[in-house]
Amino acid sequence: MQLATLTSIRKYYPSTNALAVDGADFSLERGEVHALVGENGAGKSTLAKILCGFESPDSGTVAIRGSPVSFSSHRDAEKAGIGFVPQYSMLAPGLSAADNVALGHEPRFLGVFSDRRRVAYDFSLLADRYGFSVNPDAIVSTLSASGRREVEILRALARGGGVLVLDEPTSILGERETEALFALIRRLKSAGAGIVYISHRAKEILDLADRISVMRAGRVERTIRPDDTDECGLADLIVRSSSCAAGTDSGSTPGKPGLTLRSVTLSRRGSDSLDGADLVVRKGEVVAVVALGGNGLDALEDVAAGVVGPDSGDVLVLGKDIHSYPPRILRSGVMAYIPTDREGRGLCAKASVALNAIAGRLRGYSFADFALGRAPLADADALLASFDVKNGGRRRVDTLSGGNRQRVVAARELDGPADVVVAANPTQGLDRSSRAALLSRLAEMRDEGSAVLLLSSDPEDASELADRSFVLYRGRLKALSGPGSDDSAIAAALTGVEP
Amino acid sequence: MIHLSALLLDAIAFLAVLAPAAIGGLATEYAGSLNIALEGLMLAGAFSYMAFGAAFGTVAGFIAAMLVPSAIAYVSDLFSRKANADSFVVGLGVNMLVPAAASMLSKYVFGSKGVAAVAGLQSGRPFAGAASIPVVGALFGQRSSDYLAFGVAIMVALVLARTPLGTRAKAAGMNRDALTMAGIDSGGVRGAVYALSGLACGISGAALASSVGAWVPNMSAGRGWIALVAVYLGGKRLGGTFAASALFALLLSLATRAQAITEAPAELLLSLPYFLTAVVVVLGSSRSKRK
Repeated sequence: MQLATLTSIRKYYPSTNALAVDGADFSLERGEVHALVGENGAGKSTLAKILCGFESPDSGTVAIRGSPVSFSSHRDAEKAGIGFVPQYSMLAPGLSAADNVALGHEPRFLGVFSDRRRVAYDFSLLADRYGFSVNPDAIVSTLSASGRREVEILRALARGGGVLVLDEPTSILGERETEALFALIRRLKSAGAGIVYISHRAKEILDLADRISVMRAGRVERTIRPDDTDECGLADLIVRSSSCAAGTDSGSTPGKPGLTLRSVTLSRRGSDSLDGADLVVRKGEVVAVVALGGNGLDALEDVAAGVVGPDSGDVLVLGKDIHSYPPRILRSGVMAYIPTDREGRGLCAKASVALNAIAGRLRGYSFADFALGRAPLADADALLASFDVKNGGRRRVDTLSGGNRQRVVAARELDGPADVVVAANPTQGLDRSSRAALLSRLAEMRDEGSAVLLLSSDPEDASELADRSFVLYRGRLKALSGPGSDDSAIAAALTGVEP
Repeated sequence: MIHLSALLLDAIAFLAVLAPAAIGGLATEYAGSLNIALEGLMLAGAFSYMAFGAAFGTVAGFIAAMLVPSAIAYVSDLFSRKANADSFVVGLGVNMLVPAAASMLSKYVFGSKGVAAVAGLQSGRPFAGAASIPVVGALFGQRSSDYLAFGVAIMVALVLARTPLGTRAKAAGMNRDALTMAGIDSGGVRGAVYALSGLACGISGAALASSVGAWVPNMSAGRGWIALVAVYLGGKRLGGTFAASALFALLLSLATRAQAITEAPAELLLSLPYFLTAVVVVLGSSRSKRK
């Protein structure tokens, strides 16, 4: 029997003047994993939000187990057994894991008070049932990225679990956590649950899915079985091209040091600290540092970009202390920086796309340019075109999807020549084709003589681009042998397994 | 020489005014949108107590003192949510509106724009007999309105610490998406918390008015602002906020008592708590910046 059926769904967002979903059909059977793939902005997330009751469709019908429903909030969807695991954290960071799961469904005593023991007990039962080991009383902000993801999954499973919708669940997970997640998905599937799995990663989808629906421009273009395609074929289907497997190879030879870290130590940041990090990134090479969340990658990013000074040790840019550069000088032509914290650091969320794109060169314009001229907008359009950001310009940047925001940051930072490039998780939220475009632009800058430091929690980024790779584990850097380190070696180093 | 039990007696009376307002303010801070209208709401509570008390008796006075500011707070929050107005600006507006409105209404209700004493609205001291016990006697010597204010403060604190609404308010302040996932309207949670803060400030104002038994224009005299500071000084925690309120209450009572025994001008002594508040705020903020 069909667990869920979505028929001719349409959804229009007046605020962005975008038809996010335009007549999409989708169905989910008992005991299947149905993957939903497509480019950024194809409508996958919107369709998932409609199924989960966060949004109501303008037209079309949603039916659960054959009977039509109309959800007014996620609570209604939960009553129908639908759980949702969002792409970005939707947890309250200062509350405990158990409080987060119980939120909105708190058991009470005397009718008014929260029954906190019951909250913790229910959580432990739930965690045991699915084989998770999260402490119910642990405050969410102290958990690792995968711990937080586990809490999110438990919340989705806490009420019902007949249908589970996962929106890019592995984007922040390491290899081991991903495998655990897949095992769980398979178990739920064999217990008769239906799973909607949204992802960009062709390999995962082929591993996991029973059916694959490809979305484009708000419609489900086609639905195929995994046997009908391979990794490359699927990637090309997602972006409608035949560019798959175009790698990047290194050209020039490394030169002078661009960015140097000498025994940099940064502590007092919990698990996110650095312990005597030594690193030299020479001009004309890409050095990648890979780490799972909470091993010091954020600390390394802050130090390398000059946002935070180290407790001890030196950070040198072109041989001079990074803090001897006035920020304006550093950020115009010396250092390009793509931050992990895209919304906080990378963008001014309330400003327009165009202003965000030209933020680095605002001093180049006069008042008259802004008041009367077209130069700022035209320049922004030219910049944005290099990363294929559509309908940009005057829209507020926070109306864009995550992938498009990332492209705006990349378009601004990777435009001109820069001596040093610090790119932290630069491919976050990007679909396959924009990811390839970004990596090839980084390779191009390397060939033009930039020293590129790539910080990533995705080993794939590193293995595609890096000339040298390091793994950061518990604040210590460890070199990996050569560019061709195999996946299992990286995975072992990431999780601290000694060879 | 300042007599210790007299000092404590005053301090606890000041605390009865500061604590409910500070905890009410903390509730809105939990929900991610600090209500800066504590001062105005306190004054609204004092005026409502006197106006309704004069017309319908003390009980009605206390009820009105809780409901009117609660409604004002709720509507002001509704306005800032629906009209997308900055809650800070709306709060400032309330702080300016209430004294003006009270002064206008005072002319109709009490027949004058100035001080208006109403007989029978000053609360008695029900346990005054036990007040002579050394030190702890101060606990018993308070007016009944002060005990009511403490009761409300404890109730608001319980709501925050022990009920689903408290947890939801904290979630609203941390990540509204967490509430969306729970199918709860975060705006509704914020509205409820604002109403709660209005209620708490209202009882503060009523405690103030019923200790005097008269309406005095601007009688809150900055105590709402001190309560706001107590939220910050207390580290935005329940226990801390209460402790900071107690510290300020002690300072206020010291200044009042010191008038009687020193040659220093009364104005200087009475400004001392506010001055110390300013010092504490500056020190506190420089410390949090260094972290």
